[in-house]
Amino acid sequence: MSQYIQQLTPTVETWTYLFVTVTFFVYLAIGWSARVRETRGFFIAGQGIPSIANGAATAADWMSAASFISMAGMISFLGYDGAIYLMGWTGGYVLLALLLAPYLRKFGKYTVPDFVGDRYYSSTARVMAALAAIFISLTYVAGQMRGVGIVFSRFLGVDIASGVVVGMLIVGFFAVLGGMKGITWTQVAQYVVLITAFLVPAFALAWRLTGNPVPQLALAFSDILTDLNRLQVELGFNEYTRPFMNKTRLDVLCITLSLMVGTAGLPHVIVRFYTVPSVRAARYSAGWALLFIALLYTTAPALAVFARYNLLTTLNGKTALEVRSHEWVQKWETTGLLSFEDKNDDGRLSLLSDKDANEITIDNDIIVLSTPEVAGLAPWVTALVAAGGLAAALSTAAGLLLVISSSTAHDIYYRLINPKASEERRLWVGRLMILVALGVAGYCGVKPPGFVAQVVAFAFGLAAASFFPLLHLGISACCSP
Amino acid sequence: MSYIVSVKFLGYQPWLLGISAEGIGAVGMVLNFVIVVVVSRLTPPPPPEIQRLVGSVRLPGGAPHSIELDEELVEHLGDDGG
Repeated sequence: MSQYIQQLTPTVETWTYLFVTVTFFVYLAIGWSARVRETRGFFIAGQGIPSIANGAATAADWMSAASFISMAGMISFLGYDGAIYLMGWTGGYVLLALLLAPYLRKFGKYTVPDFVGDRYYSSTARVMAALAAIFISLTYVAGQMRGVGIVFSRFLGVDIASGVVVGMLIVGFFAVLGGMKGITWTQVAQYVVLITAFLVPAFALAWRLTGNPVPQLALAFSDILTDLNRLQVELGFNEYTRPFMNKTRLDVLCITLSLMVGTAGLPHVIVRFYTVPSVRAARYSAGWALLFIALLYTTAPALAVFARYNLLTTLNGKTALEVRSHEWVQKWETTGLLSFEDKNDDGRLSLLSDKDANEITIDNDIIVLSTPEVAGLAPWVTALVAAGGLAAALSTAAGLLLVISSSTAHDIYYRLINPKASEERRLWVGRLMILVALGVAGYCGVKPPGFVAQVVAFAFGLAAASFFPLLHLGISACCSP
Repeated sequence: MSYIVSVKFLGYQPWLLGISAEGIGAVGMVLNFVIVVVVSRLTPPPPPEIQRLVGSVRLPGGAPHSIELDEELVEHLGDDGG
């Protein structure tokens, strides 16, 4: 009887198919209902998006697969030094909200290169800004498509290429049909999915490990950090809370500053503030977005600690047979993101700081995705996390695709090549460019040319060094250039 | 860009005060601030209407400037299709 009931209980895969299918149909339905036939709707959503909706869409746009999947993992491995990502990315948002967004909205241009071209009165500056926006966005969107492929391959058992193709079709549908309007309303739905998916396992894990369900409070008022520090030292690692163990003080400062000004200059987030009706609405939507982003960003460091503690106590010192008896271990091993090797033939696996002696290799990216299974949470929670990872990747990918589209169709084609282009022609070019960018990003996602992960440094470095000084001085310089 | 290429792809150690490729954007930002200011001083100013526009953007209050629309786009306003 119990065996019969067990057979009827949905597996993780069944739940994942259910959640992913339902959410994808919701995105497609929103994309269809928000389809547009004119450039104003396509590039700036007709400037009719309410503040709170734009705040949620901005938060979804801002929080990419890196924030959802990788950030807690990076903090988990770097400990205190992982704070560079928290301070850099959230600090960047504050810079953007206070110093750039409302002013750019008031300037009243379609795109960031449009602002640069008009403000500095230079077509060369406009083209350079458009090329930088395209390069930054392409780099980023390739990473998002790769994230989609990883989630599909792990949770639905399909190969990465098929997963990327499905992701391309979904995001292509609502981006091509609805442009900014379709993307905005889809991002609102995606924010709901991703924040639920991030918070539910964090709350469950906090309750299980500390008896306090609120992760932020659980981290501050329990002994888990003390226990983790002790465990780290026993295994030869530095204390989790000791600063500047992985990077120098100057490097931490420079990376944090680079991430701050780099993210403040990311064009796909800046253009979100063009979609609201007024400057006042732009400021309100910046406030809403900060609240929505803070929900995830204040939970991430707590989840990082819980996941690290949980993994150390689950895997370290166990035999290979014991470790592989967990279904989630077998599945992650097949992806290559988790691997074991009993180097000293003592029959037990050890997680050690010495890379040559370490017998358990864990990729950053599996920390969040594997947490529900490691903690033994219900299968639907695992499926929810998979749907959340997809929502985070697709929402950011859509925003980036629109930047590539507008930079090409508006800033290069309409402004420079064919200023007399008709409304239909500009829309056609915009939609074509989304498809072209999607193809390139999909190819890089399936067959990363080896440097996709590395060129993320280019994206932040270039955005920090190019857009931020140009935009900030363009708005605040006391004397006209 | 060349710093990131040399550290990420050519195997060089971070030679500028140990700053990693991920952090070099901060140095690039400072350099670009200087370059923008210097180039601005050496080139002619933009037309007065752009200067007035920038001045008004910095002042609180007032309606945002409208997005530039071509004639055909104006005809399509309100036809949102969704």
